[in-house]
Amino acid sequence: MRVALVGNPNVGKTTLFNALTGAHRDVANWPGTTVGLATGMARRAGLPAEIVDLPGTYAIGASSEEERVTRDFVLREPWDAIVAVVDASRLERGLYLVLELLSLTPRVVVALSMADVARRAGLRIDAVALGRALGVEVVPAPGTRGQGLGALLEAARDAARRTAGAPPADLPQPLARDVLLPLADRLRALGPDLPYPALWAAQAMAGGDHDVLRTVRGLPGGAGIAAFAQELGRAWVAQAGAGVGDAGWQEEAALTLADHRYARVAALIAACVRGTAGHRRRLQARLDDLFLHPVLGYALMGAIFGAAFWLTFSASAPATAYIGQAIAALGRAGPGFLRAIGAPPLLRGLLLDGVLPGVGAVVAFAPYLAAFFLVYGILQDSGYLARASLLADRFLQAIGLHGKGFFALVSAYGCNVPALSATRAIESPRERLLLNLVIPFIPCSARLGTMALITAAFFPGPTGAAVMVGLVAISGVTLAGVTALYRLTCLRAEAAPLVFELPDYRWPAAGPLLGAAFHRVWGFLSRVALYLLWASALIWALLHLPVGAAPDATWAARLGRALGWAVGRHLGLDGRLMLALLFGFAAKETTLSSLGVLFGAGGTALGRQLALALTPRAAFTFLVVYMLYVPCIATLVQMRRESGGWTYAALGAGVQVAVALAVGLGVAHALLWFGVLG
Amino acid sequence: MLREIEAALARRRSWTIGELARALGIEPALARAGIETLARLGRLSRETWQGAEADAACGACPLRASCRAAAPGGRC
Repeated sequence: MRVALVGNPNVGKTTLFNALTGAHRDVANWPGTTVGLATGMARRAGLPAEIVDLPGTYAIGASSEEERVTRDFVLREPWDAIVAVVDASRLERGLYLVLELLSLTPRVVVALSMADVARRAGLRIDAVALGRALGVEVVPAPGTRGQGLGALLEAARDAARRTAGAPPADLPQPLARDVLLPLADRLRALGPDLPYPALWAAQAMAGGDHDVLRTVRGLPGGAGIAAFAQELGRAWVAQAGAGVGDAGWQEEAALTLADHRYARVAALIAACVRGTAGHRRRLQARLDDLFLHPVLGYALMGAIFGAAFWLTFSASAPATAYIGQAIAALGRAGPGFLRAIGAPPLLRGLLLDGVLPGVGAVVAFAPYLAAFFLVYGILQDSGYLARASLLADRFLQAIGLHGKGFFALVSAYGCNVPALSATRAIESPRERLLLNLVIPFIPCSARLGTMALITAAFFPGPTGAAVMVGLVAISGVTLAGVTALYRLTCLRAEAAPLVFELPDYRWPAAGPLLGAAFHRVWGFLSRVALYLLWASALIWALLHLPVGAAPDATWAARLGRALGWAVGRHLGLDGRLMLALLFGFAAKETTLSSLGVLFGAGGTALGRQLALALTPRAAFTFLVVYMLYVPCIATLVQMRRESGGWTYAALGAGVQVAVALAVGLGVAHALLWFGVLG
Repeated sequence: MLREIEAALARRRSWTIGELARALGIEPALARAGIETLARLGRLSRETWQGAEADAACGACPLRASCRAAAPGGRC
């Protein structure tokens, strides 16, 4: 006896094959393909049988190599029975394949795998009723210890003896009456030359199956039958008024057949499956109704992010104050200690005026970072971040950003670099390019973390939370505006519809949350450490060179004056802030350490220095420009890789700088106009 | 069902599986399978189907809680 195992990918076919054969297998490629077929002898169950493990497939079609191999084997090779392996937790796809198989042969046994997964999901399947409805035997798939192997092979032997008795073909009307049955009659007239069951071949021809059409045309009298099929099809669509042309009737027929099969699948599941997971699903649905509401959803999003940022700032403030005091004490004790160990003045200056304020500016705010990543983790693991991203995506769709932007957009809030890589999954080069150009407008976690630190320095207390929400909102509006700009100018296209799979809501577990927050803070600080020391030293050098120069004649002063004159004065930003932005190009995190050196203060003292030197309006404008102005070097290199050259990477970076300055200018003037943050 | 999914996607370009299933009065798993079939029949972009598959894989991933993809420089 020869038994073929057929099923969807990842339903446990290979596990079953191993259980049947004891994992003794011969693997050979199917002729003309790279797809391997495993064969082995079932010896353990007392019924000798050759078992063939066919490639996983969703249908007996011809749209992939795997489908074609499975289909060719089933249609052309000698076999005695088919064991259709169906994942009990995903019956829908498996039963669709089973119905297709049953349109070919009655010699089928259904083996239900993944019973434990289905049980955990609250599904109870009445296998007897399912078998009765399908007209074949439905048995549990044997476990890894081999229990139930004998029953499965006996069922396969019974199926192999079945030459008739399959349920009558259940076909959609009027397609069956007008096309399939008359066509099947003509095909039957071809006799044994036809290598397929006639009714199945009629369905395949109606569905536009090229392999079957080619085979039939190649038979004596086949060309006439193919022309007859065209006539029937045209008449059918004309009568049905389907609104498709002559050429579209086969697509309509394929859809009609698939639709009908799914109606049967739905009826089978309704009759044979009982679920106990309904309450949980209803609760999830109600929560989604609330959080994804077209109006309330956005209001809740604003409130949730506001609360999250408020929590970040208020919970971490005491720890930040302690660390700031420790750094200040280090600064006071440092000169005496360095003099005592005989450190030269140049080194003392570098360490006390360069490294300490630079490093201190970042380290003092590590508690903010920890609180931020903890809150970020709660939003992510609870499933809310995915909902927020979906709301953002819907907002963006209104202005044409689409494709598979959702997944990339979510990743971008973590890091722009993997988000750019995630765009590779998008088929359309135009859509991919558009996302590559706009993703850097999304503040990554490094930028968000630094923004939180700078915001805490400029706007201590709960005001900081409102400022952060405002900044994130500005980034969303800017992203939408830039997307619209690209859509209206160089990247016109209509986007594909999207269907999202959202993760379930759940309570975040404390252990993984704390672990992830620690990992992220550590990752941030260790990454910063790479840049901090050299950036602090470089800025200190710029502030003190040429040797002996007056403070307003140093290189830093000259560069700052030039940048301040060219750009900063229009935004209300002085040369020091422009220099900090310039250094942020290497890595966004260095902006904060640069500010520490430039303002000669680390830790919480930096906040006081900034508050003295800047108006809140200038500080907010600085944050807006910082958030938008240019991707970091790593992101720029990734943009070049993804867009295939420097042209689009440079275009993207240029547009980003221009947009950041324009938005900064707009924000500065709007705040002045409305008298906010004066 | 497949025609209803097509009509729903023509009416609104973005759905969650849950929303789509509820709008059509079917199980989410059936909606998922229908989308895959529409993509296989060439009636729907494979992007649409694979997007849902990727999201589902990420959402169901046991490592999601400690996922490094969202960490600076992390990879899935």
